[in-house]
Amino acid sequence: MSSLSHGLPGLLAASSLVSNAAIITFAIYIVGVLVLAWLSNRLLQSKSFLSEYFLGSRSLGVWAFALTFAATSSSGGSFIGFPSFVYTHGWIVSLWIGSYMIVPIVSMGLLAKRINQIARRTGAITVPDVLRDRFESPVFGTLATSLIVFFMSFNLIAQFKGGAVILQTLLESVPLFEQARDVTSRIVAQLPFLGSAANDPGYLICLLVFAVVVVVYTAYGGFRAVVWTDVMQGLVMVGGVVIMLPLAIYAAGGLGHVTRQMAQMEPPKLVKLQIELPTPATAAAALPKNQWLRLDSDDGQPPRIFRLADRCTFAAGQTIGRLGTAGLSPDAARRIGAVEVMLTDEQRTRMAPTLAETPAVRIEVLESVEYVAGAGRRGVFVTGPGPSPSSAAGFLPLSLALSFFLMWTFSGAGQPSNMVRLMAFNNTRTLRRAMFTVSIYYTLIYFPLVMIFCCARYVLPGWETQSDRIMPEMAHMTTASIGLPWLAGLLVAAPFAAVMSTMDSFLLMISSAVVRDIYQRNLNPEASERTIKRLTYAVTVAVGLGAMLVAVYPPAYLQDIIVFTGSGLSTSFLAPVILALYWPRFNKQGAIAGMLGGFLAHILLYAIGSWQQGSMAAYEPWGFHPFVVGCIVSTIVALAVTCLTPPPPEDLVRKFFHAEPSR
Amino acid sequence: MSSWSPTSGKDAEAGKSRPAYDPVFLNARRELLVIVVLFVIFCVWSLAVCYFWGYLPAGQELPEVSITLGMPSWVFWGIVAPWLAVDVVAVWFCFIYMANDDLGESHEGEDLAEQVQHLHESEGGQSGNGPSGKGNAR
Repeated sequence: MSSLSHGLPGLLAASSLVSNAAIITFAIYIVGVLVLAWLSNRLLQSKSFLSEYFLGSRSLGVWAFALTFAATSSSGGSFIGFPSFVYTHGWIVSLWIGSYMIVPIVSMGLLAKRINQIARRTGAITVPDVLRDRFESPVFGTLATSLIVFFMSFNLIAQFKGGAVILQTLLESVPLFEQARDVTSRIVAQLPFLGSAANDPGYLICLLVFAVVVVVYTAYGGFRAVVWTDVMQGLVMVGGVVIMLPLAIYAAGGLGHVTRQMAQMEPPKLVKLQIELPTPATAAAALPKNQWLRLDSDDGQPPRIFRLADRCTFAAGQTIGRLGTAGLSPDAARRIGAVEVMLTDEQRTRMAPTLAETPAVRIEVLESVEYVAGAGRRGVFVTGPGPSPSSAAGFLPLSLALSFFLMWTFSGAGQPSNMVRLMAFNNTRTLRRAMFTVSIYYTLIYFPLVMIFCCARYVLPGWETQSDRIMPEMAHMTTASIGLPWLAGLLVAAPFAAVMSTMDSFLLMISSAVVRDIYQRNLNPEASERTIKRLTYAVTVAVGLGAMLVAVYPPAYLQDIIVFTGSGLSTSFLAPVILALYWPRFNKQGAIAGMLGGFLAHILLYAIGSWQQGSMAAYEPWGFHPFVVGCIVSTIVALAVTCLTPPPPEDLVRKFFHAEPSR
Repeated sequence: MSSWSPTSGKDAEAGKSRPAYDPVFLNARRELLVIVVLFVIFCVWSLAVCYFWGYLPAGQELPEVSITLGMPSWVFWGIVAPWLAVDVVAVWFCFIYMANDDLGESHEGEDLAEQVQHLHESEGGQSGNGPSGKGNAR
């Protein structure tokens, strides 16, 4: 298909500007990750296998411990979804993420010393190990294992999909990637068993690359490979942000200037356009996604500015543009999605060269939908609760702000993937330094991201069409503005790093649950180390590849699944683990009831929400997230059942709460 | 540090007095309380400043944005200031307040060894070493 550019100058100006630098950086990065896995495997040969493979022999130092903790907590959302939120809702997102100021102190300090100490006393390698040993209760251990496998399997599949989508988003329109997609498209067309999955060859390539790399380095190198790659990934992330911040502020002419401009901005309108050529197309042609269009006014008003959210195609001999999607009725096919961008006067001046070159097409606005909160109001991007296209209460009403403050802080503490890291540091000196390091690390990452993408709102308007792309676009724009386009490759490596560092941890969690908690502790406690070793490699590979195969048919509600599983795990584990570590009177009946109570409350609230809304959603009583409600239920149930049942055996209390007698 | 062996339930029943609470437990519990207090302080600070200074009542337009260091003033005083304050508090908490504790030796394989021992006992066999090859703790 040819473009219309010969007849309509500037038509392809909006195509992606990301060059092959992104793909080259990605390749270098992958090589680095694999080298680290190889080094880890060499170390594995000289240590106790399970303790080294799943816990790094409890020997993590400050940098390894701090960065693996920080990197595991930062998923792809931190570099794709979060920038998109800032871009779409403005300064209020700083409050949405504000609790990260206290997250390191709470999520590390709350449990670290005690869980590490108890794991050492018993030789526990996994979180279910700790819980089982703490109460000498195989039932509680098995319950914990089951919940980890249940939630983490969903989460792993969603993360695989997320990783593939992010990679695809970042590589979109990169020439090398386009070529690979064409080749794959021809190959998968001959594989009928792929069904609908064959429609998106780009996604399949990205899924395959991501999954194979993560499975190989995780399975081969174990926990230490995951930690070392987390260190590298953590440095890439913070390096990317620290470099990007001054570039973004420089490109925008200062942060104060950006804020004053944002104060004049109004939310965009979501529109459907009919686009018509003045004369029939001589050959098949298209207007790409994100193309700027202008509708001049007859009454002296400034022109209305649009940006396409859909690709608009023109068949040879036709004048009306259509969507490329097959199976649409003629009426539906001519309704092209776009955003009507409300530019400030200064943005119009900046954009003048681009707007002067918009293609000469006739535009009719068929439908125009305003934001439910903030439409037509200036100042909504610099105040709370922030504009929202779907919620009348705005992006972040106060109850939700409190919910997120609680959730980000305590949900992190309740994640088993974080708890296992707390079992792996070598001494409290390391813990103290690492807590401070992570505090500074988060300070350097999260608030600067808010500033960077507020700048993006001013310098790159109109990306509401595809706000998930704002990170790579901003990386390109800022580095091109100082004549260093190669730097964009480094900056866009940050999201790769964030997704991988989360996926590898989850993969190892499931693998350890199957090998250690199910097989070794329940089925065959006397299995030889050789058997355990072989089983560990096999299970890690099998779980990874299994999750990849399921993700070939991507699950819907990706972000919802990630939030559901993350909050579900925290709701189930947080109260029982805190009470197990700090309350001598706590017994196994209370622990089991507390865990089940939190789990069931969380599931019930999601079931009610999904039933009410007809899609995956949480019911939020009084505006509070199921995590908050579930934790309250879990705590009350655990306390009540403990008080109503006999105290724990004396020897267990002595073992875990009293000083070790010297011999 | 010498290795440690848990006291059996029989000893406890025989009226053996409990040793003192573990100092790691006591220090961790004290630190936990401080952490919770810090969370409440910074949560209230941040939410209160942002809500009372930064939320625009429905239907109102912003007269003029108040700016501090390039950002809306409510962001500076409600997010940046407490964030930097937390970092300062983190210096005090991590390097001055938090105790250095001995977390003990790692008893690798002990839980599994105990499990195997119980298994053998329940089968009527003699107790033996676990698969890790390390001796039983008791």
